Amino acid sequence: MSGSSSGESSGKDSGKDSGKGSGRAPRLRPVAFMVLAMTVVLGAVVTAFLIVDLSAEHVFRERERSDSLTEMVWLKDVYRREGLAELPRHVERRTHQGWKGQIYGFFDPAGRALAGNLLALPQGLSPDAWRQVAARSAAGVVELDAVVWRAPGGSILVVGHDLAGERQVEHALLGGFVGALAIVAAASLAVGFLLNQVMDRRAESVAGVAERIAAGDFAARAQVSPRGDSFDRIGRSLNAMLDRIEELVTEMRVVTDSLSHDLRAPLTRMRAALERALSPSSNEEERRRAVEFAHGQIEQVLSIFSALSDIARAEAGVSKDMMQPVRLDALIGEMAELFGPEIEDAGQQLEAPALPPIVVAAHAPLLRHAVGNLLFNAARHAGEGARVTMSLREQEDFAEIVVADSGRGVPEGQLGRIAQRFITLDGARGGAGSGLGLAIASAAAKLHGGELVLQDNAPGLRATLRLSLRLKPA
Amino acid sequence: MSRRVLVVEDDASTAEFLAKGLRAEGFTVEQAADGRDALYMATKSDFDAIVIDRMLPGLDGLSAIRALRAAEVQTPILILSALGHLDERVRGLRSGGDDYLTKPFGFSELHARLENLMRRRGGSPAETELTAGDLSIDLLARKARRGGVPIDLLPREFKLLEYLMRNKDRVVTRVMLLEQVWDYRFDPHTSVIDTHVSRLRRKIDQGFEKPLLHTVRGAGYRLSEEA
Repeated sequence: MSGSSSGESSGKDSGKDSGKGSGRAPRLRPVAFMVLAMTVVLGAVVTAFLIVDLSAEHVFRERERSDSLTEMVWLKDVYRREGLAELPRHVERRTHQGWKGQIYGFFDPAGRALAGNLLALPQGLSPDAWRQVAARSAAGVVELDAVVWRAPGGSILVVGHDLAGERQVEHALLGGFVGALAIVAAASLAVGFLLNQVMDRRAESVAGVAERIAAGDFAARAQVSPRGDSFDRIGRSLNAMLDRIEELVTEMRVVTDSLSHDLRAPLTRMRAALERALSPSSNEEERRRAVEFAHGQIEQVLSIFSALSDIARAEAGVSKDMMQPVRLDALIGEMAELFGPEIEDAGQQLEAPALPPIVVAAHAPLLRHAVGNLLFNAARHAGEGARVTMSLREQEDFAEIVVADSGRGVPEGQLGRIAQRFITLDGARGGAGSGLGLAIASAAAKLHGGELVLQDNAPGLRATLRLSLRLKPA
Repeated sequence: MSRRVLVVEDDASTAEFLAKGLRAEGFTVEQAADGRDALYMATKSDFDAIVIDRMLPGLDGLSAIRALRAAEVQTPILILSALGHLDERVRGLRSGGDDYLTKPFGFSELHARLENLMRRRGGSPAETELTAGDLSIDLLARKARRGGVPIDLLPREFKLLEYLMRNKDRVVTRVMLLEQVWDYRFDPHTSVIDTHVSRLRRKIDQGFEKPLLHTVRGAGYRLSEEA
């Protein structure tokens, strides 16, 4: 490993090394695919050749045999009509005519050649079947496919044909196939190479994005063409994943920044108060007030932590046995009752008309908290004179708890933001407006298989807690 | 006779803080640092209340509580825990604890809850009427009167008043009120309770010379004839 990379310190970063290796190697990988494809193509071509060859041979031989048989039948007919003595003359004549390359031989019972172009009686011929034998003819040794007839009296007539013709066809076929094979091989190599190039380029664009991300360029995204092939699909998924990660990273950064901001303020005030209390020049009453003030600041810090851990708990999920059937109308009624005075004190009016009885499997304390937060939010932000309306309804697979106000509302573009941790639009940080209320409601809705939907109520804000009706109680 | 409390806490400084505070309130405090000792002490001797940490070396808090309840020790138990998990509280109460307090907590919260637990133990459940000075409530008819004059209360206001009356002369915290009266267990909105209390105060104290419902700074509320 270290030997190959001359300039690098050995084994310092093995991941880097192997990464480099794999950067070069993949270009060769598709060759395996090409070899496989070519093997398949070659196999198909060879099989095709064998099939064509066999059937061509068969057709060719049948035709030759039928010619030989015709000759045999004709010569037998001559024998029958004109007698044995005339046969050699006819055989000789046919031989000289060289009819369709047929080979003739007429032998006396002792096996001596009387007519035809066979010089000697071939061994191994049968009167019942075609036999392939080597035979000496006037033109030299030939491969003979022939039948034999033994005439009464013992004379022997052989008619057959030279297999050389068949071999020629076979050779021609083979030659054709080899040529075709060469063309196919060359073509598939070329296509494979091109395909490899194209795939490599496409893969490179996706891999390049991942490498840029790994190198710290979080804005990198894969190029996706509208054609929508496999690589575009991978690219789209990659981009969607990157968007989600970026969202999470951003949210995390906002949380960290906001948390340090929100904690620094009360902690600084606390330190100042305690320093005041410790100062020898302070009197008893001043000390008491300083400590009391510090105590109040601690409460604020703790409430931020408490809210954050509530969100974390809801996001982590709760055990199944905590999900119990809950009457939502009753729960809303209780929360309206609890937060009613707060809303009235804010100069607003709370309306909770008769609600339908809907039961869902829910984590009751968390759900109360979520509804409470929506009401608290309305009391705090809707402004004087606003009307706060609570409603409940069943919508397909969801129960929807709606808290709508007719107050100042939220600008359309900000609706998505306010459910995030620490986002407050009026910049009024501190106090109970830590910007965590809606984040808790959102986490609670997600825990119940739903979501928190924030919409413009024209005027005002309309917050809908959607809870799945499909969750099963423990 | 001084009331005896067993504090089971393995963290020495927390244990010291608790013991000091409780002694200052007039309790006799005994300490144990692990579940086994706690089990031994609680079964050998009679305490008025036990404060036990959820996480202990050896035998953990919940197992110790289960063992105590199995041994038919009925002493009220307050569980302390750094685990604020929603389900932890339920588990704690299911294992036999009577109340559950999440760290960090204020001493006043702990004290108020302990008093509440000990009162519950001694209280007679058959009460049908509670009184505080010239204020009385009828638990059966759900009616309140002060100085013979009927007071018109909403159901929840009655429940709030009942809880305050049952804890007469003792401090109850906002968190306790939220939990006991509204079954609402989250800290950030404890201020909503103030509105409810001030409305109740208007109904029971307005027009009377001697106020009964007092605000205790930094702690909560107290219903008492004494200021």
